[in-house]
Amino acid sequence: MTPLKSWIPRLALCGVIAGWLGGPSTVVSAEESFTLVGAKVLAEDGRLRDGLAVVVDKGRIVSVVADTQTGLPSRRELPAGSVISPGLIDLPSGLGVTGQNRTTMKPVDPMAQVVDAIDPFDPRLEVAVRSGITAAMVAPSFNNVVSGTTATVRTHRTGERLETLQSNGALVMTIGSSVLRGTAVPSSRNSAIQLLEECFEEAKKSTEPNQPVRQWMDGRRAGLLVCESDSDLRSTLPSLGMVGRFPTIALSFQNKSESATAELASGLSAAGSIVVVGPYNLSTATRQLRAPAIAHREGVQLAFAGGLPANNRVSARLSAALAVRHGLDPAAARRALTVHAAKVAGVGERLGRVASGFEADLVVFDGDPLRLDASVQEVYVKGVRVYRAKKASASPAASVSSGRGSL
Amino acid sequence: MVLFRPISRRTPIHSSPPDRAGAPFRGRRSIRRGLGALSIVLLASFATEPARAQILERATVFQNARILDGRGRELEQGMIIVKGGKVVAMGRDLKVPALSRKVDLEGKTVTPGFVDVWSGLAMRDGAAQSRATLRAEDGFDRYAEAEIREAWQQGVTTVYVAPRGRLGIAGQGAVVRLVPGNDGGIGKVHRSGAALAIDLGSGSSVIARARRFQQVRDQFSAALRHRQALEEFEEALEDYEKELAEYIEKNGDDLPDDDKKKKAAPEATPAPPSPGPEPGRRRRRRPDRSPEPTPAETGSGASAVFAMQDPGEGKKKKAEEKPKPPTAPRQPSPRPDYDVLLSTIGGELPVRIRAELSSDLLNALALIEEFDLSAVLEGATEGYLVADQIAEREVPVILGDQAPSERRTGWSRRAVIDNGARMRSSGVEVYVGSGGNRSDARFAPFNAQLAQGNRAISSAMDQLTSKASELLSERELGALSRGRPADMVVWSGSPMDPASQVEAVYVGGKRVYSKSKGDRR
Repeated sequence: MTPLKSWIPRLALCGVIAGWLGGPSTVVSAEESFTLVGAKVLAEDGRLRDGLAVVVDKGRIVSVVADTQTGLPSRRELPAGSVISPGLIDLPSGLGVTGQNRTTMKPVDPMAQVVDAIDPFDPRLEVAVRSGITAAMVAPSFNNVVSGTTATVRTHRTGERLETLQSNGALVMTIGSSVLRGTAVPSSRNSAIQLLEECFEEAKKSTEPNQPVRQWMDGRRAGLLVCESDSDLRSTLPSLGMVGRFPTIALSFQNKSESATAELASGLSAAGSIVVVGPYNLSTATRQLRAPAIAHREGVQLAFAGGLPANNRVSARLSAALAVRHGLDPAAARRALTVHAAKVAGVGERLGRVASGFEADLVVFDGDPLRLDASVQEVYVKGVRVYRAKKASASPAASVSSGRGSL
Repeated sequence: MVLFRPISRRTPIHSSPPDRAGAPFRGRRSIRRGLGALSIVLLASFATEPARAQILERATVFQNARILDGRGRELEQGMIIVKGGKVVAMGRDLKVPALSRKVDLEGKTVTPGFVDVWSGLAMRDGAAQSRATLRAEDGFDRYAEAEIREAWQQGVTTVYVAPRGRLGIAGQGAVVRLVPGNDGGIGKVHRSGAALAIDLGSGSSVIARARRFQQVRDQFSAALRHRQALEEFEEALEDYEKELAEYIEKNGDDLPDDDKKKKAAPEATPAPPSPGPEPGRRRRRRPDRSPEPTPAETGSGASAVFAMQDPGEGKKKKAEEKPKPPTAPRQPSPRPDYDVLLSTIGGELPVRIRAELSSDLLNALALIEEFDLSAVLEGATEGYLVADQIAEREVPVILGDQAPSERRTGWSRRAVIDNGARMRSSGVEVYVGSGGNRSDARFAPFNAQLAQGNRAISSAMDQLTSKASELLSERELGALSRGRPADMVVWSGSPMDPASQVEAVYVGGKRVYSKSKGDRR
């Protein structure tokens, strides 16, 4: 017995060291189990449901049950009117890579990986966390026809690193004026599409199984096609038909007529694409703001672009709110902000829902996230509370943290 | 109006007279009633259009509404009775006037029409040269129906707009109610000359902004000199009249022809034509920044005026032989632009100063202090850096776009999201408008909500109702109560919920927008 007792402190020390080396998982394992009660829960169907308790253990949501149930661990009572939402996901994001050159010289550069360029000390990451954005799908810039692959990271930094949720993500393809070169190829939309087709042909012939374009064509990798205008997308559809696969589409729907938007949306719905719309702002034309409602009616799965830090930290919520004011079903808008955003970011199996088995990246708002006057009260990442707003007092701004990294 | 007044004091035409048992008098009474009705019809047919409308207009009763009155009060199952474009009664279980038109709102929410205190709605680009006499209503496009309808769809029925010009003194802002006119246009000027708009901050060139500030300051100084010159002219005129009287007494009425004319009408000294507000007309006069020298600049008062008229030495000898009659003082040219600036000095006309950078804000504060202006700052992107100075001078601030692009260029380089919150915590009075941009004007409610989410303000609804009317000193707008204009918005749910839709908009009691019709009625 004596030798065993002498080993206990040594084992404990080893555990601590292993935990320290293991990074964030250690933090989670150290966190107790708890239950969030008293707030509405943004459910998987996008509705706000009352009377539920969210039980978190070891960084995961273990159950969402009636709050009247007894025996729930460590209840944390949230203020009435609060809403528990899955952590928001910024896409396509420039967090951690803004200010760096995200454009390669080659117009078609599928091998570029944005994950190599992410700076974990970008102060805007902290701002994103405070705004309820717990993950970001960081994308290369849209200045090449094929500009590489995305990476999805958690925005909360633990130690000196960001946790990468998906390092080698969706293949990014762009058709629009941003890819055009003045004196070199591509200098027109047609030549850009031709380059894309050539890229597909090359990938077909490629013997390299890990070539990203080949992987996308084989269905082993997600794709993201960014189209500046609807006509760009219409022109690219035959090329996509050649491949037989539809990527996620980032599109702003600029059709002048609602019937043209409906027709395009109907086609995208049949192809099963998720469409990333926005970001919208207060200057966006009304016909664009009506498009999400039309697309949703046609059965399109929507997600809202945020685009930090080029846009505002509330861009995705603002886009959703504007779309709702222009006819989109609020539940669909909430799903777009959570479930579909996670799907686009390639983490739909882990994040984006307040449901049993999902990781406990949660945000507590003091109202419906679609309301722009609702502010973030608490942020949990993997079951650990990483941000808590100071209570509103006589001086309301006291709860707003200092300007470091403020957007 | 003379015809109208006795009628308005009568019992309302829809109320039935008391039924009294008095058969002998019934015939006479019925004759009297018939004559009364006939007189109403006659009066209505002869009365002017507005009077006729009021005589014949039926009251409209909005029933079964959830009323948010804009002053923080809420009434479930409420009623609003509207007549003559105004709310005549509001409450629960009111007596419904006979023959009134009834509108069942089925529990929907009614709010006052929202007021956007800093809007660019339907404003067209301004004149090539900005000046104080320009008026915003001249640049307001009353036929921009699509834009105005979008503002209605967000619940906005009144806007403060200012001339869109270059840096410097832009012109006078106006409060415009979005009410359709008889000519197909929309928008009625509720108050012209609501404030003098000065832009010290929207330009990106530092040098240009600094120079423009100096020019604005010079214009205010010149306006003060102009006022001094006018006062001195008055004094000089009195002296001149005395001297002239003495001269006539001494030498008889043998004035030269010119002097006789001056004596007859010294006030009518030919003055150069007024610079006038006519746009596009090139003036021959020197520009504002270097106003023509006034007596105050060339010397001191009346003596300076006479000194300017002093004849040469040779003529002096002649004058000794025969005393020369006194010369009439020269009246300073009328300057309508200086008159506007002078009305701001001392606070009679409020001033709106747009400034974004901390340096421009400090310049604005210096201007406010130097000329004792009653001012409101617009924009204030870097207001948090000089919040204490703004608070010390008790200058309110109107924040603009609360969701700007985060591309840091020009003056937005040091923008922070909690700018408004920090200013508020320093004691600055913070308001929110849509930001003066034409394209953002329709989304004032969203902008106010964003500001509330950022804790810059306490309530988005207040910013669009009670706070807005307080800032514009238009107490009758932004609220629903007896005697106020019936500018109302019917919402499907809570006005601050994005899922709510504007069902109908009434301005002055008339329905101007209906969601079901999709157009104004």
